[in-house]
Amino acid sequence: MIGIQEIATYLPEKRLSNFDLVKKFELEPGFIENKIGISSVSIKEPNEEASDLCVKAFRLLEAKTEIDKSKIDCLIVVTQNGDYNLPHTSAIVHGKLDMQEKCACFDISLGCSGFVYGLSVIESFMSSNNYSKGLLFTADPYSKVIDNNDKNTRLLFGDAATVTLITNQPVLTSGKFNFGTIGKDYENLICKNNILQMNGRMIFNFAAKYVPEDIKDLLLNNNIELDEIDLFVFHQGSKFIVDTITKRMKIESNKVPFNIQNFGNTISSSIPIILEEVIANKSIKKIVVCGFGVGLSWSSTILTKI
Amino acid sequence: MNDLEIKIREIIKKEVSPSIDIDNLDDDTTFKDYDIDSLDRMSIYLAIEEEFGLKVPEDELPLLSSINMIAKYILSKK
Repeated sequence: MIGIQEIATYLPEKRLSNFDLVKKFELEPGFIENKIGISSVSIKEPNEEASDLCVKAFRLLEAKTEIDKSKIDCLIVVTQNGDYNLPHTSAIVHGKLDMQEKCACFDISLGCSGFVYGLSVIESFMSSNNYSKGLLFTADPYSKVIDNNDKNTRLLFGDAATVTLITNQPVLTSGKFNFGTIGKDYENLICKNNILQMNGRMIFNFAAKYVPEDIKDLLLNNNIELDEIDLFVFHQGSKFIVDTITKRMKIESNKVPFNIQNFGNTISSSIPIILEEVIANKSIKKIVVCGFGVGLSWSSTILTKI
Repeated sequence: MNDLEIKIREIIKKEVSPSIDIDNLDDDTTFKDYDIDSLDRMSIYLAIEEEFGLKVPEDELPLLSSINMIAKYILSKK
């Protein structure tokens, strides 16, 4: 059986405060704390690339668990802000980590749905090729494409990287997956001429309408009742979107973590950052994970603690 | 106050932060002037769309700035 054995997160130390922007963006009192829920966003150094963030996440993984690099069969990076258009960032990470040559490497071009998609891809890829150890990285440094004068994006997005060790000795295994795409609405979150643009209302409408429906469908597909779920890990877009989904699904709020106050929405890294925090918690047995965003795209599954 | 305005008021009450007193919101006062922030206004627009089966284009959002304006907008789309 293939699944998640361990996770590590790298968050750059540097922060940009949102409170410094209250006047510039004419923010209402309480908007930062109670609505977007992000006091500051993490930001990488200008000379750091996605691959550097991945390498730092891997060093933290090595500090937590013994890893024999000669046994890593595959390495996948989920990113849309890789080091270059080509080659793929996973090859650069492979080189920087001096991995063995018989290691499959490829990137997955997805945003906030990318970790859950990536989990399905790497688990299927490893199973079909009889692999036993793989690495799934997420690193999407949006600071490369954010316009600091754009209120819609500057207050939200932070830089981070995660690495998930996938092995045949898992702690968390995946159930059936759900996937979906509303391609006709792709322009609502887009990077044009190297600048990120977001129609916040349309992204909010998408998440508020589609995610609750998807989770109902996911529970049905996995033959699990809502109250059997211990934790609902939604992509951490903002406090407002997480609260809206929670309210619409009538879930107890203590089952829905929100942890991005000090680093922001880290795109495909937001879900594994929470999973790293709860992976050792023995009272949490079943976890819904759902990523949604650019595409517009979503994916979800149910993780079960072994 | 007619049934439509009552319905709209109920929807708004469900969507905005509990600290905002919707019972005392005048039908003609704009949401912005009543300190309903941009995110709560997005919730109101979505709830109105879902309740009345509408899809409000971005450029028509200013037509949904108060209870009275929303009522007029809904009637104009029927």
